[in-house]
Amino acid sequence: MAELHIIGQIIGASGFPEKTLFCKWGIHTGEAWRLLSGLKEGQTQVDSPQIGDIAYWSHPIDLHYATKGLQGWPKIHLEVWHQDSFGRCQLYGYGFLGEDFNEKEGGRETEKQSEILLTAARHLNSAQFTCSCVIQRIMQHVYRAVNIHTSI
Amino acid sequence: MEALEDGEEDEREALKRHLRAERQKRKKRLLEQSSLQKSRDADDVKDVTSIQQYSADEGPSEKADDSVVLSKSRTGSQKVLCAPGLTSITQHTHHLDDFVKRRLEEKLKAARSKGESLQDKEASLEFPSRLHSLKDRDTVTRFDREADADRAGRRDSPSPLSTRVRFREAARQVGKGLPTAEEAFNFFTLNFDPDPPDVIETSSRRRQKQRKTTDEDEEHEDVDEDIQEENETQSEEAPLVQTQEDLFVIDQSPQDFLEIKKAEYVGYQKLLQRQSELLFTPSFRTVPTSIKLPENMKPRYLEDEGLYVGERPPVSLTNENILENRILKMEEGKKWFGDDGRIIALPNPIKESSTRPPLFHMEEALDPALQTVYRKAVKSKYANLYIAGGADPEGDYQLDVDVSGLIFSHHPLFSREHVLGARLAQLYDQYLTRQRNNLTGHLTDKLNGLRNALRNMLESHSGLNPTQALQQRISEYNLEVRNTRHLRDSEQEKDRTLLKNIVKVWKAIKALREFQKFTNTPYKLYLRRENVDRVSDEQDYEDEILAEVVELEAETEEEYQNKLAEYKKRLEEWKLCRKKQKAKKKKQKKKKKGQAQDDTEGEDEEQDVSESEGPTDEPPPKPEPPERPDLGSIEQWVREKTLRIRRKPGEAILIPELSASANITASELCPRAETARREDVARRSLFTKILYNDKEVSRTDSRSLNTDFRVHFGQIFNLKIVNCPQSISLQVFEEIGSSCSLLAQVFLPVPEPSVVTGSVPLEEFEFSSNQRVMFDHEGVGSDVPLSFEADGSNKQSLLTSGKVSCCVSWGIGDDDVPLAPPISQQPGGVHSGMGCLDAVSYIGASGLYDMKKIGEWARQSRLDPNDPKNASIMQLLKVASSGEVTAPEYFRLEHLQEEFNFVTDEELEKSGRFRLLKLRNQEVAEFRNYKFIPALEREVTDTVFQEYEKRLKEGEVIDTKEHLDSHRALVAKYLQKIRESVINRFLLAKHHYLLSDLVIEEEIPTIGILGINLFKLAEPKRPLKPQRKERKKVTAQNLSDGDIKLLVNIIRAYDIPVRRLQSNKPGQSSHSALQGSIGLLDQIQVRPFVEVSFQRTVLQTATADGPNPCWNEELQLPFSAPNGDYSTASLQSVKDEVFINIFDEVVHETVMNDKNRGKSIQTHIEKRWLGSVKIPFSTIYSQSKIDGTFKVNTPAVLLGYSKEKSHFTNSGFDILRSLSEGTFITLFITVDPQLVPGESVREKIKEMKFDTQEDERLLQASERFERDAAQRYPERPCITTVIDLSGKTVFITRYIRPLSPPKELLDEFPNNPLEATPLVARFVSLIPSLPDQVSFSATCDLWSTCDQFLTLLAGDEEEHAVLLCNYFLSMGKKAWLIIGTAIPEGPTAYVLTLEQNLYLIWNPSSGQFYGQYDTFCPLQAVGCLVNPDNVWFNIQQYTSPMRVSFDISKAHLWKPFFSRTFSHPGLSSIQPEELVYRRTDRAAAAELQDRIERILKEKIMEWRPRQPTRWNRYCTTTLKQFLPKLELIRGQDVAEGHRHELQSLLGDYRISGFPLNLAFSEIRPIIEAVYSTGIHSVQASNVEFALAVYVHPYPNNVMSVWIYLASLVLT
Repeated sequence: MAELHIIGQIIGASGFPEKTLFCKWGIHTGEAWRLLSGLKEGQTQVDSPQIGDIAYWSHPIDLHYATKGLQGWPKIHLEVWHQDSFGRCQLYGYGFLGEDFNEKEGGRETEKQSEILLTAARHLNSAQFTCSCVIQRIMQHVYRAVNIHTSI
Repeated sequence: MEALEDGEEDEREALKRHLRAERQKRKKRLLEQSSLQKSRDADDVKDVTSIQQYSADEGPSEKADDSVVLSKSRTGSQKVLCAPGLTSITQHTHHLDDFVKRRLEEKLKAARSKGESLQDKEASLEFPSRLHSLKDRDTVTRFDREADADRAGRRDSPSPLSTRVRFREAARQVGKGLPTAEEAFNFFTLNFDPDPPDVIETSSRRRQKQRKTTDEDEEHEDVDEDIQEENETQSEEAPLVQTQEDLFVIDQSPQDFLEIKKAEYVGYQKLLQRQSELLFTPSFRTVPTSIKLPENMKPRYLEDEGLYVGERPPVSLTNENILENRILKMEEGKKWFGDDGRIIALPNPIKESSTRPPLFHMEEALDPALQTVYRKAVKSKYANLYIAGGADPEGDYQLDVDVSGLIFSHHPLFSREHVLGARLAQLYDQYLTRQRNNLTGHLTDKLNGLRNALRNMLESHSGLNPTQALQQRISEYNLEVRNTRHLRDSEQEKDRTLLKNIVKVWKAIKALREFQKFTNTPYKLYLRRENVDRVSDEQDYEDEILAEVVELEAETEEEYQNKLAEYKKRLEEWKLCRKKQKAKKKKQKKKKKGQAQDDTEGEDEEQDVSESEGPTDEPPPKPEPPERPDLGSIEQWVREKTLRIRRKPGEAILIPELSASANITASELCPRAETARREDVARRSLFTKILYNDKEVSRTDSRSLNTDFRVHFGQIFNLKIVNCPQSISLQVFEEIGSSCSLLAQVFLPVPEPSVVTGSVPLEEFEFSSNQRVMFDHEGVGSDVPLSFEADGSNKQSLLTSGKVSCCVSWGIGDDDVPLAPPISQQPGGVHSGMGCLDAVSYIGASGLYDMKKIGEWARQSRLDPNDPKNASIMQLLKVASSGEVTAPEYFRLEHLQEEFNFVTDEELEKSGRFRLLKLRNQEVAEFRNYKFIPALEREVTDTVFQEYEKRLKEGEVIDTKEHLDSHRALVAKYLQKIRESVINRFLLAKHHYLLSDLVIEEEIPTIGILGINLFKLAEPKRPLKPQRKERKKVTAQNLSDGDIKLLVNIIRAYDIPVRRLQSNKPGQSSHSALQGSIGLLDQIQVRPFVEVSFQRTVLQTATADGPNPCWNEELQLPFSAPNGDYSTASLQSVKDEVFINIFDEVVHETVMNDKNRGKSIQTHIEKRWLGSVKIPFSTIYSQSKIDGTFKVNTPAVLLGYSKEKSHFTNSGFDILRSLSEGTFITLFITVDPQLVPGESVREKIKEMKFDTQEDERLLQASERFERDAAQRYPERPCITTVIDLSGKTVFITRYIRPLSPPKELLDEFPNNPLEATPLVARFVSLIPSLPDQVSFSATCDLWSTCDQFLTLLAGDEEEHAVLLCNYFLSMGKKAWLIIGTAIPEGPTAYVLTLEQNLYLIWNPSSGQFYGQYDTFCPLQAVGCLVNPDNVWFNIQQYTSPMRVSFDISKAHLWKPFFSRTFSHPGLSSIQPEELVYRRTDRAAAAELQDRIERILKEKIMEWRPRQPTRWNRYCTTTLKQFLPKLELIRGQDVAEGHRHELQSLLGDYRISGFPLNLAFSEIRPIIEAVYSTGIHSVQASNVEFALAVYVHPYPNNVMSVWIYLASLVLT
């Protein structure tokens, strides 16, 4: 039995054609993983930065998983949406953070700020954008008593 | 089965016979009219028809199909290289799957290429007869033989073909049949060609025709095909037998089988009549039930018998009738009918609702896994695979197609001269190639070499005897020499013929030119003469002849010797035979004569033998001695031959040279026909289309046709390809004006990857077209018979044909990289004809349907299972190998999950830590506020879950012991359910955050405020006038145990009962000292103190004196929230109550007379309960502070105490007399630190938007009304809409409706309805109170209707008030509901009645009433009044009932909801018309009484663990008698008589005791109440107790519980 804490935040996004953005996120895991506490999906507020290009959300993520197997490590998926002045929402980009999301530091706390490229296909005068979204997270693995059953 | 087979065989034999007869006839005719082409054609046609007759039952299966394909493809390739043949073939195989089709195509291509080479060979060998040979039987036969060989090979396949074996046997049997005399005669006399090839030819041609017919009709059977095949093989193996069979039915003709008649017409009516004889039409009339049932049976209807009968599927009555009629005609038709005379039918299978789980489409509710995800379209991986070398999506492969030019070997526009010219050119080409190869020269040299070697050998060994080995070698050499000579001769002959032909053609051209007087072709043949030395040439010639003659002589001699030897041998044999016969004849004679009796058997045997041997030996040809070869003729023969095949000695060597130097006669000089032809030629132009994978990719420019019929394109096309090349073809088009026609199609092979541009020479590909073209000018046309002979004989048809010179190669990129796909990817591997890869060639097309064969083939050829091309086969094999299609029953995403698990699911579930974490996350009440969860599994104890598990269990089984009443158990269950549903609804609302929830912004101080603050600094300090400071509010999450304290400030009390002197009793002395001190006042005093108990913490004040004590003491009680949860929701649901008990401290002094030590005085302090106040913590929490004077709940009777007479003088209404009676206490209670009060329930409701059935306009008006009220008077509660139990918003007036109280209550005072009023109020107050906030865990205020309230038997103030108000209304009183605030309840509802111009305020939960001007009225503020018609909001200056005018008619005092502008819309009440009451159940009450008594006794003993608890039974029974009386007078003013009675009974005891009265809800509050009196804490050793319980039942299970507690001390 091992446990995994995912603690971090979604900081913000930049590089999108508009600045009024919000983010939907979710964490997917394999079958062997059990969510002990925390929300595994959510949505940030809409940030419309007056200064600068980065829309800041600083959205916390705090999950606690237990697992019985090593497969299906959690993956986070992000969708960046734009809300226009009429309140309409439009998907601007999406991305997935897979295996490297799991910094296997074996019980250590690692802090890493990673930038994931979100593929955004938005046809604006038939041009395409590649935008980026910044998330930061702290991973803490608590490996305790990994009981591997051996039939003796 | 056998009979059937026999029949079949008979039939088959008949057919066979017929077939053979046909063939025989045809053969005859052939022999007769072999020269006539026409008749043969006709015969052919006839043949076809005759075969067609029975082709219907003759089945070509897939195998037939296959063979058709094979033979056809070959003939096709033989004839022309045209597309139509291909398409027609593929059409036939349309029912095979794509895979097979592809394979077949490939096969066809392979066959075609083979055919091409064959064609080449043939053309070179026998050109003149080539056109004939197109239809020639020879070629066909050859291929058929091949096909047969194929088939024979295939027959060896392992699968047992029992049918075939059987049929072969059958055929053999037929073959063995004995011929009749006539047949024998025919056999020996009839003249027919016994040539085996001929037989094969005919049969094969027949088969070919047959195939044609079978092409048209594809539904045949395998078996028949097998028969046919069998016959064929038979014909090959034993033609004699077959021909013998053919003789059987020689006389029959097709006419014998056919009969021609006129067509008959049958009239419609007649037809109908005939039909009606044959057909049965069931009527659609209803069938009487009696027919449908067995005799003497009555229909039995299961439905009527009460059995369940499913609904029948709907069938129209007509159909049912028809069906019934039809069934009845059948045998055993009745079994279809059930007992009720209807057709037995299963119930209607259509389900009413969809069985598929519904998919809810509320945007967020859908599981993310089920949501549709947009994916950009991507190219299929498989499509990519066809891009050779799929890694590079650009697929940079280039195919260069170089179309250089086109040469026609025949064209319809050829003139005769052209034809000859083309032939000449062709012959010359052949000559050149032969010249180049110089086979003749090689062979001559070889022959000379061999001869020399032989000669040397003979010479070297001439003297010796030739050894065995030498002889062997010599003979070998001889053989070699002979063979080589033969070869050389044939080559020489060919050379000679070729030369002759060239000359002949050239001569013909010359003649033609001469004849037509113009020249069309530039061909000119020169024959160069090369003179030779005549002498040496002659010498060579002669030598050669001589050598050959010598050799031949030797050979002939040898042959003769051999023959001679053979002859001698045979002669010997013959002679022997002869002798034997003679001997036999003698024997026979002897036998006839001698009549020998013995050995008959042996003789018979011998005779048999002789007879059987006889015929074989009968014609023993006497071998003739071989002729002596005529050696002289040999030389003659050799000379002739040599003359024929070789140049004459001394004759010049002729070397032909063809040049195109002749002048072509100008058009003007030509005759008209020729001019027309030339013009026609000039009009034509040609172009070619390049087709890649059957798609046109480009085309060449159109080039005009030259007079030499050569077209030069010289174009190179670069094809950038994506798909792998399957076919590349060129289509030659001829353009005449604007119309163009397809001349021919040429298939080009796909080049190997190594073939790159620049390294390959141009290749010539022949094409041909079988189009028939005729012209009226000089052009010879195509497929038109043409003769060059003067007499018009030797006609030949020429077909348009020619050669395309082109090449296909892979392009080269800029960096010299060939743009070819890698070899591994090259699907051309299939084209390369690797037999094992080709399923069709390996197992044959029919094998494709034999799974075993396919499996075997797949195993042997090692099919790549990942190749998408093989996907279909793999799929098929999978299905075949497993026997049936077994789809896996599960779908697994992570199929190796199990292997990598380190714990099992059970273990994961068992983990206490995880469980704890999960439960905490789920906010399960017990674990909601667990701060720390142990990090180690072992630290988690099972005890943690005990409570939770217990609760889970109890959720299902309501403990009746706890509730003491089954009805209340049910109610509790019901309440639980409501609570859950409401909680769920509120959980949703809880996550609905407002901006203020998240963003807390400190207000930025304005200049004004700053100024004031600055000004304040300058203010002088006034320490004697302290300013009130706002306490800081603390949010719940910062709290932990011990942080919160409950501050109870007990200020003073009024009118505490005082002790009554116990007169004339011993033990008075003990009191004397005490009384002495206050004896002056002659008052019996009391020493009261207050004890506050909360959460089992008990604190008490100092003791004060007198009935109106003043303590002014602050008590601090620690508060701990349940489970350490200090969240708002949790605090709101705290059920604990603060008990404030007033006790009297009584000091007893006992004098102990101890003789040794002297006198000592022992003081006993005893506390006696006087009364209590209960304040629920939830009230304190929501109010944040409670400040006021409360009526102390005193028992009706306090033994040993009496009230001071009140000083009030009563006013007129005598009910009000006792209004102010009672004890009061002034309290201030608050919580420190101040907690943020729970969010107002109403605020949340506003957010939630409940469902409603109210009119939108009404709701808007209500919202406006409330908003206005809140703006102007924020402190005054104003309610217009409330939420009912089902969660719907309801307008408040709908709750008010006159409802009659239980009849029993009214019957008590039939004359005085006024008297009944308090009784009704008491009834209402006896319904247990349960605050909504507690029951619904701080969710919302739900209003239940009166019937719901009476069913639940629990509700808060609103329900009580509504019920009471409704009762009063029904009793004819003027009553209103007061929405206001009260102490200690907070916002609450009271009832206002108007009695004799006096307003009375009723507290519905206590049943007490107060006058409007009563100082001790708990109601503090009046917000609004409600009656059935309207709602009035208090807009007066004050809210206190004493200062408020209740005259609602005054608009400036009370603002009505419904006014003239917005009139009452006539809202109907949601209350029931009438309340139904259940009868009082006295038996249940008695039982409950016993149980409560027992429990309480146990409890008291439990609370006194150190002392023995003695029960005074006598006192108990006495007390028990009092209780009903108390109930009767509702506990009012019975103290005097009651005490006296007791006193008289229990003279010797000092009694202190009191009765408690409670509304019954459950046992726990009763225990609490008893505990709080502290009666158990009497320490005196000789104390005795008395406990009496009385339960008085009221209607509808409302119970009044009386508990009389007393402690007795014997004095």
